[in-house]
Amino acid sequence: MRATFPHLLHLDIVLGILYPTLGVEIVPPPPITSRTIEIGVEHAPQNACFPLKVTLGNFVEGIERGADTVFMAGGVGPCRFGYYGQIQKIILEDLGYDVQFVLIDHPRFGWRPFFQALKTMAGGRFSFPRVKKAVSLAWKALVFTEELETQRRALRCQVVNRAELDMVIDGALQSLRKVESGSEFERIKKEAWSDLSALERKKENNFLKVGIVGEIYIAQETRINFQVEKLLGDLGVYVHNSVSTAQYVLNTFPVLKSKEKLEAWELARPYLKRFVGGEGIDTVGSTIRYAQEGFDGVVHLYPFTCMPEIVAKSVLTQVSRDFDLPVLHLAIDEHAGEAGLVTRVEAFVDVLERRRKYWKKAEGE
Amino acid sequence: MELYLGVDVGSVTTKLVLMDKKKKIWASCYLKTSGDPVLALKEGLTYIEDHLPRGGEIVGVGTTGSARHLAGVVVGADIVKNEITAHAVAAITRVPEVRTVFEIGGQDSKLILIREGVVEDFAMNTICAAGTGSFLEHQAVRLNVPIEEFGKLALQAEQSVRIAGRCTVFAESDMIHKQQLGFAKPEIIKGLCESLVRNFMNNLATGKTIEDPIVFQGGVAANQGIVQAFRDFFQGKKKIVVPPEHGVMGAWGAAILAMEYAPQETAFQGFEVVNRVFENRSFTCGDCPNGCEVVFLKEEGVIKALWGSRCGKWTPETVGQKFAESKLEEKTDQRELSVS
Amino acid sequence: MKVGIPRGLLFYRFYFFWKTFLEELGAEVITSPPTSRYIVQKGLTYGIEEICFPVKVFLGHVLALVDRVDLLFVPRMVSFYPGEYNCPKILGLPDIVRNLFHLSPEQIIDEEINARNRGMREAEMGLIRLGERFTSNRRKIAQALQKAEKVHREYRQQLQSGVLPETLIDGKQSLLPKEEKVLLLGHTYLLNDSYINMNVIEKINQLGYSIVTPDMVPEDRIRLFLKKVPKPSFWTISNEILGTALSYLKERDPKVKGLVHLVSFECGPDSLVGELIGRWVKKEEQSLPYLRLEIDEHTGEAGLVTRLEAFVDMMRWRDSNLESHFSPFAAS
Repeated sequence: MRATFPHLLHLDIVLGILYPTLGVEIVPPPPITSRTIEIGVEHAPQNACFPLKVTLGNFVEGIERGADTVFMAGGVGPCRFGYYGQIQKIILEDLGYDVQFVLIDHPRFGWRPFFQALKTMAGGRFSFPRVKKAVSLAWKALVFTEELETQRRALRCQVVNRAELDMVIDGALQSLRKVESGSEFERIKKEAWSDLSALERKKENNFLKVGIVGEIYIAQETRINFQVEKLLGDLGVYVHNSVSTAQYVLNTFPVLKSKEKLEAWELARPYLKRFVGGEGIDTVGSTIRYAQEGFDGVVHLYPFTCMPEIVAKSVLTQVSRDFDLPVLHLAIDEHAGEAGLVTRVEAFVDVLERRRKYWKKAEGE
Repeated sequence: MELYLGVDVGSVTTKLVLMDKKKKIWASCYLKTSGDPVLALKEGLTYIEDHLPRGGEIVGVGTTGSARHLAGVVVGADIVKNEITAHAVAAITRVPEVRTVFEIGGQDSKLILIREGVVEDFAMNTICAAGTGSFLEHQAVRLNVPIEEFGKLALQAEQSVRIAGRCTVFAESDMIHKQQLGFAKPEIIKGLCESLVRNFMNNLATGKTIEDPIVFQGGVAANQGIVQAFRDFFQGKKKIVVPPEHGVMGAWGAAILAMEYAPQETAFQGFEVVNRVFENRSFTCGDCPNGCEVVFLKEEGVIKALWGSRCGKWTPETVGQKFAESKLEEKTDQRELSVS
Repeated sequence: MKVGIPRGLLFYRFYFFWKTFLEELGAEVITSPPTSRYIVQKGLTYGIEEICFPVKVFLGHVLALVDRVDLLFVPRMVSFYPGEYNCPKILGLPDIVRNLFHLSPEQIIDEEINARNRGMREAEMGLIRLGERFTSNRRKIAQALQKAEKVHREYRQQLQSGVLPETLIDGKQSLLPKEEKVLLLGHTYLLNDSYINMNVIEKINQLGYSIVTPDMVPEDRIRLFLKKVPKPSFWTISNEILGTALSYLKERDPKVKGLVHLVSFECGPDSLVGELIGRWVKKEEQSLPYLRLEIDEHTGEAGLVTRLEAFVDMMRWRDSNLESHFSPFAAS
């Protein structure tokens, strides 16, 4: 079995650590490029949301690299993501690819298929200690990759030399790919932190602060969202992202729901009373939290036509007014142009800057 | 006299404005970009030089528009700003109590909300052509009406006909259908104007509170038919101002921003820029399937600036090396070079 | 107390249920007028750009009611079938309305109706909570509920016999009976609002066909065929569309000559479910002619008519071609 899977930021690094231990050969799809998107757009339903198209492109490119199996996750709705696998499986079949499509779905749709999928994904032999050890290291790696990206967002505006920052972080990510043991992992981690703290910082510290909210895929996948975080950082903005894959995984288990998430839902309630699928309610809650934490603005990233995020956007207008917090909505799909997006982000930062100046002046009077 | 130069290079038109310290415009021009921003810039600079008042000296330059970075390198800009901010600044200067700005240009349209002289919110439409000047120009050609006559004809119509369509293609087929049904040209033109306004409002203004005075600017603001269609849309209840400088507001805003920025010493390259040889080149990088369209600007054979390299591997130095190695230098008259 | 029911989204499914229930509880029910250009225009200026056309129309209906009633009826219809959902926009509808029109909790009925986790009993609990807004008398609520359910059952039976909702609600003229039929799929708010769908039902009827919609197919039959789908969708109405399509593809009714799927341009569920149906149709041998009609505020009537007429030609052509298969000299 040679299995491929969809990209989601550094998921390939995490699975690269997990799978050799389990004895499953994985074939990561090549990095997302224009070709990936073209393939996805060509074969996916025209009005499907963008992540379905990109991940379909991943599968095709993974198969081209020699994969005979596809790993994908399902869901319980009401957002479309939970139905991606059903559609993608048929599309791959109709394209004539002879691959095994392993879909791990919620036990709600049957415990037996759930365990079967789990067993296949765990390499057939379900040995608990083995799985536990592999999962524990992979989990640590996932959390670490997210911590690195958090640092990249926060430090971009602060360091004197941005290229150095990228070098440290990309270097750490590269060495993670080769990690085999826990001790090695700890060494990489320690080194990365000391390298980061050694970076020369600027003297000033009153940076504009912008929070990122939105749909999990678009808000994180820099190869799709035109590197909005980098763009903001280059404009001198401190960036924080409320979306995290590790949190997402934890929150699929009701007992592991994080305090942060429950708090965000509570904050959202005056505007959006219940879960509407995907990250809709989290988007609203996180926006309010950013307002309370004194952020200057929020960038809302989501796939064009995304249902939960459209509900969120509908109520964010009111949130933005009540908390006097500018929100920039960026819908991403294959038609989104980089030039227009850059102009909007630049103008948004101008708005935030001018607001700060205005309030300072108003306070001074 | 100290003067400021504002340059707005858009995809369809190029605008230049010469302004003094009191923000008074001394000269301005409005040219077609025609796919060659450098040439359009040179033409504009020649015009400005010819209209430079005696004793005038340029002490600050601002550029804006979709080719703002390119223009910034060619002219030597002190500040490079996006066109949303530039338009807002000019509108606030012209009408200090402005609450809303409508800007419709050749390839995109913008809505800017201003409260107490500060931009509060904005929306920009870059995907849908049905709300832009290109749409009208295209339809004018179809109807065989000079675009200058368009507005006047629209005002002659006693009634309008509803033209449906999300984008130019659909609107066009619906328009042809209405023509076949026997509607007169003025009525169809009026319908087109209303369709553009409806698309603009539905694409950009939904969920936003439009307060007046509204400043309507951009090339399309010259069209009386559109102005009237906006007035009808608001049933005459909102005050709409079309400033006399409506066509060059972006450039004017860039000049004002340059003045606010107040450079110690301007980066302006001087009017002799028009005599220098610039080559605006591009190649498609084939190193990964992303196929980045790398654009670079050469002056007298030296690469001065470069855009579009997503991974960051292309810099003026690496591109220079690449071309030296592959001896593609000889084919300099070729507009597009392909390197794989 | 005046309660306003906006004429949009699930209105055509539950109107009689809601009306009876509210009236039995002592409310005066006011319904917004049928969709018109004015209502659509209003809706377009209120709804955010990317939200689907039917929600925009719904907002137009809300606006037509908001100043005329004491209470706006926008219950949160999370689910009306065990284990399934409605689409996220319907889940968030009361919040969208509340925020856009600045309504206080006293101005809107937004109780949650949810049969997803614990079935119809759970949904009834929501209705009882809703009833408590009007009376504390539990018995009165239970009676109102019973009566409403009875009226609803009768309504659904009438629909199954082929009567159209607009005939029952507005007394719209019913269709002329025709020998041949077209299977018309789509969400209830598209199929049953003749302004939104530009009279598509009447147009098909005038072209010589009767109509079959998912409302006219017995529910057990829909559910039986849905079981054949490896994993049905999460959305009830989409599942009914899937089940109906599959039942007519797998067990042919010789009178049904073609399949038309009416979809709203921005509809999330239909973007995937429609794709499935399209692929099923292609895989069938001697399949049914299939047409996907996308509808939104930009749809021009001329284009719609052209497509329908071409489709009718296609059905007739296919029919005559199929017959010729029985001839020994049939062209291949």
